[in-house]
Amino acid sequence: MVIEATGLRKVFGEAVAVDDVSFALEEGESLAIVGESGSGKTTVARMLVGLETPSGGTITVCGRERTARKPSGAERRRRAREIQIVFQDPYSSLDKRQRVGDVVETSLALHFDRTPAERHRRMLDLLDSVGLAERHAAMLPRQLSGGQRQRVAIARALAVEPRVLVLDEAVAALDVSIQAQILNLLADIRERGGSSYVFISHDLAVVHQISDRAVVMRNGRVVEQGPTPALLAAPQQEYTRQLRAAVPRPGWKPTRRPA
Amino acid sequence: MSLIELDGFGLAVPYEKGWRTLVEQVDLTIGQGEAVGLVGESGSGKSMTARAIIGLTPTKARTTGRIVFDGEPVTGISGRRLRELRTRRIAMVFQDPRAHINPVRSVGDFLTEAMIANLGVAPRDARLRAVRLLADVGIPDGERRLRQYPHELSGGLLQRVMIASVLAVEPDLILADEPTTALDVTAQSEVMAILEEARRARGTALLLITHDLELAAATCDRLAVMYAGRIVETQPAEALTERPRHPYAAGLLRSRPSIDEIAHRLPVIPGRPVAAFEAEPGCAFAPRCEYAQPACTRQTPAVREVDGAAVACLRVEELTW
Repeated sequence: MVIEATGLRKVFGEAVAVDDVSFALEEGESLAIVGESGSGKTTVARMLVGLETPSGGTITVCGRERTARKPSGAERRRRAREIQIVFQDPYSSLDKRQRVGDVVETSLALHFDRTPAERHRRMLDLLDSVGLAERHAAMLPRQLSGGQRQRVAIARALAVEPRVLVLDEAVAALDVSIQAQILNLLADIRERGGSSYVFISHDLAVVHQISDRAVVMRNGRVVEQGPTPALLAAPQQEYTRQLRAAVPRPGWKPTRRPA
Repeated sequence: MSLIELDGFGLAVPYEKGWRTLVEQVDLTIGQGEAVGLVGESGSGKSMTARAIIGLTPTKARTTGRIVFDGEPVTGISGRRLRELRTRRIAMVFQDPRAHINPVRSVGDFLTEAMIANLGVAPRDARLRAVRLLADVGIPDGERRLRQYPHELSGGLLQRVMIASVLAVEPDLILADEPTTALDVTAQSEVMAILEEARRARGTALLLITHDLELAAATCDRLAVMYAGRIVETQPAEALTERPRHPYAAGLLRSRPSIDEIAHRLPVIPGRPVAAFEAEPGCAFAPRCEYAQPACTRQTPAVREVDGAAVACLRVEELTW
């Protein structure tokens, strides 16, 4: 098991954002956390990577329990090699003055002891693995399209060779044709034995394509979880059924909830 | 007769010493009470086209072709006529209601302002009507809502308030620019249902601008797919999803993951969408098209009628999916 979350809870002031959330992620698995806005799915993602401290419950990553104590620099780097995150917006998650090659090399230099030449070669390999060419290494983020930027963010995360990649609505802001490319890329990376995924999304069709298991959240709590195909084919909970019914598809008619 | 007609419409903006084309040769009609979906990815020019209908073009933009609304041209008309058009006949729903509703005015002010100023409704009557409109869009307890401010409402509720404000003027045409993109799926379903009900009850026409082909197909009568500033295919919604004729429309439909089946890998369109000014000569889609032939890069394909579809592809007769 790479991640085990038990009884997770997060409180902001008086608001309970996450309440008693438990799930596990197996090695090589892709787990989706599905929900609408306010479901707490992003807060869960942020707690997994240490951007938020849980108010209660435990997170065990690669066998070690995360403690609330402020980690040392070495500990933070070790954690970074266990878990990395790709954010939704590829426009704000990259430094606009840093060239693409540097973005990836900075990550490499922080975690691995390599000569500059080795590091450069590895950077080019990583860019290649996300479908970017050598010429992209010298470019600034503004010279790239949204899909290309998201590839850079993925390459930066992969540079660390993390056991787990957390993808927080990582394809939501992309054009449909680019979204398909990135979803395929993520499938390729996982097939090569790259890493396990925690895929945060509101989009059931995307979740269906990318995940083995799914956790449905609403108002901070887990509504239902199970293998994704079964969960979508035969939802057990009314809320999951509603979510599924709201996805536009051939023959679909929009409906109003009874007032 | 069509309510609105775009005839060879084009739009360019000044850039350095020349012009950058954003929209080119767009022919589009919307009939009375008809719902048309204008679908495309970023840079396709779909928003620009829709906004041009009510004169919301970028500063110093140059337009070509004609836009005729209810028999009268709307391109190059006076500010006063344009204002009349915007306040009475054509209304717009924007993607982000928070960016288009004044945050320091109450919901009541927002909803009644247009009725009082433009339709000459007495303030008290306007408030009563506002409460009724809120009920129409599924917001009970309207009296209390009128006293609230935008920050007190969720995105889904606020978008319904914007739709109520649009319905208040009983327009002939609603332009909805990605009205549900910022909303959750359940709120999207509800907002689209409300728009549809209101349309049917009042016979209002709708132009839905969206990147979501499935949403457009499910809610519109006819679809027009744009790529690099041009409409590449127009068909009745059902026919387009069942039998797309342009390789781009077919590719878009296939590349979207499905909730019913899993593909080992999604059939992708290689490359990225381009804007009109970035496009190579010939068919703008040719560099990404698996069916492109040398002729495709030599000439821009004209729109042709094939089995009730209008398609801009040189190979339309031979390609099927």
